[in-house]
Amino acid sequence: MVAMRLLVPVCLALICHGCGTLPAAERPAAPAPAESDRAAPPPVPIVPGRAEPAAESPALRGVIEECWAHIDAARWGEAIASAERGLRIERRSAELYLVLARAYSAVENFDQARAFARQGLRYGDRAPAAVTRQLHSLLEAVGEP
Amino acid sequence: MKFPYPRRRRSRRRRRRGRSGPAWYWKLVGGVCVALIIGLIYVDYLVRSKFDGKKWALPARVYARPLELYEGLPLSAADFEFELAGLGYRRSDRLRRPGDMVERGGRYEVFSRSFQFWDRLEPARRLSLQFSGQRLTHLGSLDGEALTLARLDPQLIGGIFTAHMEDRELIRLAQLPALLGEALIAVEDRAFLDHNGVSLKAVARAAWVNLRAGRVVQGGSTLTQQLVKNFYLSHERSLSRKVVEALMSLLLELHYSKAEILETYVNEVYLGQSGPRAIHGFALAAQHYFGKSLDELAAPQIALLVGLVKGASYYNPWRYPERARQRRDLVLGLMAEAGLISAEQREAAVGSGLGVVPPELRRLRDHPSFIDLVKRQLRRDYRAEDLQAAGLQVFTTLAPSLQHRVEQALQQRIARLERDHGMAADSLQGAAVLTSVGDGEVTAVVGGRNPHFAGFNRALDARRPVGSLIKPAIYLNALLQPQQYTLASRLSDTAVTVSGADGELWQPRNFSEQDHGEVLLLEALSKSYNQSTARLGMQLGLAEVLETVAKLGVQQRLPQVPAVLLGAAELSALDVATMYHTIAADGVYTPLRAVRAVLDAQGQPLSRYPLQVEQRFSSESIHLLQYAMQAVLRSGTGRPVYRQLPQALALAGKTGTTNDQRDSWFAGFSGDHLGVVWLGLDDNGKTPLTGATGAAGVWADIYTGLATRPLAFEKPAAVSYHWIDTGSGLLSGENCQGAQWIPFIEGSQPAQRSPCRYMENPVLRWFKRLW
Repeated sequence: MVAMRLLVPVCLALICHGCGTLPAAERPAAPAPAESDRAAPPPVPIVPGRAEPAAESPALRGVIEECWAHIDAARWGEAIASAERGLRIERRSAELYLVLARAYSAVENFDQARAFARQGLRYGDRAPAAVTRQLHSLLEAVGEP
Repeated sequence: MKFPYPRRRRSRRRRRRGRSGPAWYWKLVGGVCVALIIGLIYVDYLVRSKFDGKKWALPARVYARPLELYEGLPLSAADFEFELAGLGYRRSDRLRRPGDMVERGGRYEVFSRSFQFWDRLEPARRLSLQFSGQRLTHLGSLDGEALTLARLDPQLIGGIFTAHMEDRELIRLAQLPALLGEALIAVEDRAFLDHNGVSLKAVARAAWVNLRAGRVVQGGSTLTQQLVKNFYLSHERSLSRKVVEALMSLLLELHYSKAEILETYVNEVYLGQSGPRAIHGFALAAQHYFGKSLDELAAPQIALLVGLVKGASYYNPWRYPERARQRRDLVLGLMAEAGLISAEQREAAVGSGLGVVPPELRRLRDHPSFIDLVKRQLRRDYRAEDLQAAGLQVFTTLAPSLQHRVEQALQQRIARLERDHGMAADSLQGAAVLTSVGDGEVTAVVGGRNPHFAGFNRALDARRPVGSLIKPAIYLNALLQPQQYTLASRLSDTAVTVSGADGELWQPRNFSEQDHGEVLLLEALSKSYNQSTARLGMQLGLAEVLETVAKLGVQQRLPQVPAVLLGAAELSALDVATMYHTIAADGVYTPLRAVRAVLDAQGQPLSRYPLQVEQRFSSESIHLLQYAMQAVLRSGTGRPVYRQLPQALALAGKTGTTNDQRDSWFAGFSGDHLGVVWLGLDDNGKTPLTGATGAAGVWADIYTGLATRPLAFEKPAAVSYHWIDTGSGLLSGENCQGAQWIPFIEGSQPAQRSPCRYMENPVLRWFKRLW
């Protein structure tokens, strides 16, 4: 009985301790003590996050499809305008940067094509592999300045 | 005694007169005739050239950004309603026509208006919408079509005018409601269709009425004469001008049809004033007085507009409502007399309300500071005369609800600060710029505490020392060299003396006048220590630091003196916004834009201002800087911001205060919005404010309730986090006292460990105490 009385809080303590230990990538910083801050509540730790993926939003998908339709029809100006419209919805869409890179490459503005391709690759980890692949090959095609 | 000479002379003179008299006379008559013919030809030329040519200088019309609607859009219901009100949408019980909106228990139905944008014609649609919290959660079409994205018509926010500030909306005669045209003729010139420009009958009648009244109570001018007076002549009252007016009227009628004359009249007539802007033509007047298009006007409203022709200022319905009502009712009577409306309609309308928009809405929602920025950007590509006269349509990036939010925050906080700090009323000034993050679109510009005053634009032209706002550039320059500097590098925050190029000694002190010994680079930035920053800047080199400032987007050359390290550089709020936007956009430089596109008067695209990007800094070094700038708000000088804003909203920023607290700055950003605020006195006097107690408050007010997403702050692959002992800057452990989890560019973390003073898990300690 005594053992049970001890076991329950020990288990609870261990569970609580376990809950307090986050995976390495999400671990919060322990608040740094500061002379002037002793009375103030500890600041909320700064932890890296992830932007909410919005690529699934129907509005964005619609704009992306419209962009590709413009690209297919070689309407480069319209493709650029539509891609910018999409970026106002989700500025981290790698696919929209691919559209911009393709359109600028087609109008031989290679500086902007390169810049947008690089920008797309920055946000490429959430994009389909095909998009990343195309960004890489486009960057290769337009070459380094 | 003879006196021949004079006589002879007289007789000679007589003879001469006698001989040349008739010839001289005929020459004079001939000369006068020639002069009259030349004059007539000249007047005819004037009449025809102006009427056939470009009749009016059409100012560029400047539009706000259109509101894009999609599910997930960060927008509160209150801001949505504000946007609709700005667009003149009417509350109704059901959707009847474009411009109607219905609100039922938080659900909205909107009949959007059709609009020709730079890329396509957006059709009128019946939309259903619902908001939850700060987001649009439902968007649907009531017409049964699948709809994921919709665009409202953009709000007209101003124009680019000539010195006369004339504004008008041109219409064809066919677009003029028949009732308006007929009422105009019935009231102003019943014989319009019959006379040849001048009506002698009308002149005689007016003369008789005026004679009996003993004063001028009636004019005898025809519509043609009124048009001539307004279109060609000055407002001078003289007989000669009346003669020219009559002559021009006859010529006008000779060359042009009644329809052409009436069409020009309805576009030319002066019908009121909106601040300095003169309202011409019925189409613009309908918008000005009733917030409606001409075809939406009811008979009493048409009667008021027609009544205003006689004297728009005298019958101003806001200033003299009773006078305007009497005039309107008189016109209604004339309309009934002419059989244009029935007696019952007249009875129903007489004495009713004027139906004009509330006085606070009557002015065009002018944003002079923003329009100023638009003009400057357009001047690079367009001549002033084209902007003022070619009828261009300019689509800008201004977000009306955000502009309003910034104006309110600045005005109210300034008044409160003056009160709280015992400052002289109306002495404190301010400026603010808000941009969206990533695309560099400027969404709001406020150039002073009175946002509608088109005076000195402090947001663009007040170049003031930026104080500690420059520090992120210094620390970024350090963090670009990960083998030398990390956030855990130790800096000395003791007294420092720097020798300038001219041998002058510079001895910066901390704001608190206290030394802090050895501090981490992270702490030096977040707590804005001057001594350690000056030391770091000198270690890095002034030229290198200034190069980083330039790479961040500051285009002007800054003085290469040590004091620039602590913000002696003078920049405007817009310059600072450019600089901080590069930091907020993960190291990508984008020129800030206020214009998206320009169309010509026919709606054909002239130019677009596309997004331009240039990666200028590695995402790794920017990640570290953003971490430190978040620490500014969590535990540094910007802490007051989180007294107002939710802790869950990740934000980054920096305070700035200059010598003797002459300038109070704050610049900061969330995931979606970047804001820069400056407060100070126009005479550069001292204030009781720091960046934290002044500008940061305005900034926090702007962000309070703002639909904005937290800073994304994604960790680049080449960055890793480590527990660091904040005392020594060495590696530590999660449960060691004074340990903080700090990001490093891969391979730059310290190799050595500091001794760990184990800090027991607080939950375990609690249980231990229990047992």
